[in-house]
Amino acid sequence: MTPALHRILFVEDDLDIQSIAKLALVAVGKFSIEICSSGSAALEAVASYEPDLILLDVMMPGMDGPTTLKALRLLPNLAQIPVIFMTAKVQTHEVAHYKELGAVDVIAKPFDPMTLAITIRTIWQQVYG
Amino acid sequence: MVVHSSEPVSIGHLLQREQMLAAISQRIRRSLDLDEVLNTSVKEVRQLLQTDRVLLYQFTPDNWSGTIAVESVSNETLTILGRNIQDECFQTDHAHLYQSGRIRSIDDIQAANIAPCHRDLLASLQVQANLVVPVLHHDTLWGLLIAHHCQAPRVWQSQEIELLSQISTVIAIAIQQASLYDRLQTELAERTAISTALQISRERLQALVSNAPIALIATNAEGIITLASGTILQRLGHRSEDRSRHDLGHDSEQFSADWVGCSAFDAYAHIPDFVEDLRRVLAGSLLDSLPDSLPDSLPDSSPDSSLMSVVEYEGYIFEVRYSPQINGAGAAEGVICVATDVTEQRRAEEALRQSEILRQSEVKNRVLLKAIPDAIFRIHRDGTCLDFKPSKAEASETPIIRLNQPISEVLPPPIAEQLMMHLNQSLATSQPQVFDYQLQQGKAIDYEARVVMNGPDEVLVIVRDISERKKVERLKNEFVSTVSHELRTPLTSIRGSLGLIRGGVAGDLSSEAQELIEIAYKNSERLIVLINDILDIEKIESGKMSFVLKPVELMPLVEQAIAANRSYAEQFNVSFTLVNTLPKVKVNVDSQRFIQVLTNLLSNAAKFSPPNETVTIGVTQHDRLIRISVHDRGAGIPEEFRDRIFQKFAQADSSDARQKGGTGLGLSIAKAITERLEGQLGFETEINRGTTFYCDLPEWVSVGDREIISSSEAQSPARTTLQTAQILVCEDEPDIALLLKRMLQQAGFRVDVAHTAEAAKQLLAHQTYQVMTLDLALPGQDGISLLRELRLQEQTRLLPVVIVSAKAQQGRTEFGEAGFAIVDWLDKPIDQDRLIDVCRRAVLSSRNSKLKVLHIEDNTDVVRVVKLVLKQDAEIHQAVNLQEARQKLKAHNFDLIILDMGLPDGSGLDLLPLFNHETGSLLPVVIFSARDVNAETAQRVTTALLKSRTSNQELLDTIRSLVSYVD
Repeated sequence: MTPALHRILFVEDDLDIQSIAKLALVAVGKFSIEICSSGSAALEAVASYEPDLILLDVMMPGMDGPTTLKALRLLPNLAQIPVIFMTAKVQTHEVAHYKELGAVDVIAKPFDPMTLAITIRTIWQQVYG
Repeated sequence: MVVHSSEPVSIGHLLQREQMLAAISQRIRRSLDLDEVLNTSVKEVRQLLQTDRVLLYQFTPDNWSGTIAVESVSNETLTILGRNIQDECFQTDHAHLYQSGRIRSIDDIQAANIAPCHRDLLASLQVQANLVVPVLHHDTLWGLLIAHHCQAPRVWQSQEIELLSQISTVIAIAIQQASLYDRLQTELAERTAISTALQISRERLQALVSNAPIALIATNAEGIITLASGTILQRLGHRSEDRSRHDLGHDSEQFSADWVGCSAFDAYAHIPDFVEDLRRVLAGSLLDSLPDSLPDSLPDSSPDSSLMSVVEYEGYIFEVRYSPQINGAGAAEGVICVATDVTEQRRAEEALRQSEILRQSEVKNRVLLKAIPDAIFRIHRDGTCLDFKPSKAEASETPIIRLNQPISEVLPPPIAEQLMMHLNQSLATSQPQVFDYQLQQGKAIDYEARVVMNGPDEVLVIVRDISERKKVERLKNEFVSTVSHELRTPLTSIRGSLGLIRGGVAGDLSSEAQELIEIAYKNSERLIVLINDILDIEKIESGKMSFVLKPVELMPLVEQAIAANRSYAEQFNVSFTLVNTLPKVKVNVDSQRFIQVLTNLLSNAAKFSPPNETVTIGVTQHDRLIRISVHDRGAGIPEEFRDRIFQKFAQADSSDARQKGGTGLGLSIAKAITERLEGQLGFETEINRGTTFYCDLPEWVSVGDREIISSSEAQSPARTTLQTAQILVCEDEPDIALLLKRMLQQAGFRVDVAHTAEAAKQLLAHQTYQVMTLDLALPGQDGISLLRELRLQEQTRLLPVVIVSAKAQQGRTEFGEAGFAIVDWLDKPIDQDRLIDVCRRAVLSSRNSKLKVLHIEDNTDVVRVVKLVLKQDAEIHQAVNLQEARQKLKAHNFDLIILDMGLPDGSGLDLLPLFNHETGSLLPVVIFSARDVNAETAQRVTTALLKSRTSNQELLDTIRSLVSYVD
């Protein structure tokens, strides 16, 4: 049976995108989200927030998405948490690289805020289906 | 005192005189010997006159001295024959008198009235009386006929005087006759000499004409051939019907008869240039100056080049010289043509010129070659360097490789291996092979190697430093990636905000606001598409767009594309209708890219359709070609735009882009993608009626159990596999021979043994071997001498030879550089692994083709992947079940088996006993299965790989290591 998807940790440095994604996920998608502006903030928040899924930007100042993912995997109990990259860097080799790192899927930017929630639920279904 | 002849002239005497005269006359007429006639005459006259001396005095021309030419004397009288008389007294007036016929008779010298000097002269000759008669020859005073009486004075009788006069006349006749005869003789001799000289000259000419490479053709004024002779007439087209009866090289006269009397214009019609020149010469014209192609030296060698021309016939080149025979009136009575075959000379000159051109081009090439910055290597099939040119940068450094050095000694093993693989590929396909590699030379340097076949056994390898290019490529990729990221980030916010507002998340909008938001949203979409298209174009143009081809059912993809574009079409009030379908038909495509193509066609059709129209989509089949057509009822494509519709940024009207919201890149991308899918994109259009775009793709046919995956299979020639490779062991020591045989048999080779060089040669003559092992120390002919001999023979020139000898090390040092193309040198005791490895490599390189692999697998997709992974190394045959596998194993020899365990008609493991080849060797078997194998099974096969855990590289490495591509 597919576990329920409620809590999403959204890691994104661009404030405008933070606002739009928040509307798309909360207002449209009815998820509960926690937003972090950097990789290191995400690593700090993840233990207390206990998300079901992490939506991770790739290009961030300081610790980038892939580095954050590798660090996450080293934390206790977080090795299996599904991570979706949401990025504008979606050339074929880049996508392949994210999947090698263990991302369950990749959502390309610019994304459609009206269908973002549906896209995430579909991926969730595939992961646990 | 004068003595008178006492007796009167008797009748008898007269008669006697008449008889003598007649006899002398007759003798003169009969004999041509003047001396004899004269001697006899003077003798007989003396007898008849009964006097002491009768002589003929001959004058020296132009001088009145003379010689006693003929004489008859009595016994008591002094002979004066031959004496030269310088008679000072004999004056010119005397000569005149004699010339006019005077006869002078002196009865008594002492009493006569004569000059004292004359008297003294006569006295010195004992003369007492004399009678002198001139001998006139052609009215010239030739000489004098003189009778001397010495004993006493004598009175000369008139009859006697008469007689002497008559005799002188007869003598004159004799002299004239003799002189005539002499002249005749001289003339005759001259004529003979001339005639002989003429004959010699004729013979010489004939010999010249017969032996020199010339032909002599003479014609009269009308061009009728009067003479045709020479050894090269044949080359001018003369044919003799009875030629077979003559020996080759025989005199050429046989040809001449044939055409004499014919018109040269007809006879030589096959050489139009010659006929033309002949006409001109006969008409008295000069010939054109020589053609440009003639070497400069030729005109000089001809005295009059205006009467010389060059004609060609059947590959022969002739120089023809014309000598017109001009008559007194200045008209040509005929012409003699001398044709010289200058073919050889011309060829030699041409060859010289060519070699000069070649030399110059060689010099140029050298310069060019030096100017090329790349390093260039000539590499033999066996991997040794035959020649090289360092790159410009390395030119001053120490050479990177020596001649005859194997490349494996200077390149890291994986790169050397890669190079050998491309070398073999290039030799097998004669197609250039290109690959990139990186070497660590202090820093990492990227190289591109281009392997080009250069003869049956060698390649040219052109190596270029592409570090700079690689760096630029990396920078460009990073730039493109960064730019697209930087553009997309703000777009994400814009499009996101607009999307949310448009979706009503921010509350309801006025209709004006709604309309403005739509415009902004639509343009943000367009910008996104543009960025994506630009990235696609960049990838297509740099060849970096990757495709994952898979056989998939076509209809679901078409339906998916229609569904995805339906809402887009609705903006234009356009609907999609699918009219023909082909369920179950499969195509081999990258689904995502294929949908991209369909999306482009569908969105274009929607955009260019009038509102409330329908776009019709159809899928049809023509033979093996599947056509997906998208038909709109739009305005059609203007004539002038049709040619460039697939070009980048092409739109019929530049305002279209803005109106219709396109980028102008879509069709260009769609066409490029379709071509990569081995398909074709095209269209049919009619103004005001609409346009149909279609995409044709080859149907993917599931070939099931008959499938031959490798498309090159059909053309691949018969080959030797490892299993059928024959090895000749040449070794005199029976124990070692047996050991070698066992070792090689165990590895799956068929082995013959020769104990002597002689036996080896016999076996090699009757059987083809892929490899020979050779002992250096053989009885009789030793190994090196045998090798030397084998290398000289065509059949064994390239036979891979492995030296197995206790003296291998020594041999290597001694003969290693001798260029015998020895594969390897193995010392005794023999290292079995190395022996087998070397032999395998030699077999592989000698047959120079791919491995033959049987892949027993029911899932065709897996076979396709394996085929892709191994495409450089192996030719893959598929068997989908046990039954087919058994059949194929019987019918073919394979080098390796890839085995799936779960097959429709049983477990693949059931086949394991079959792989025991009759020679006792084990075929390498790789289990490639979704299920893990247990320990027992693992022992029975060479390697087991788990499908889900094996990367492509691992599979490739495993296969390669099993067949000893690698040391």
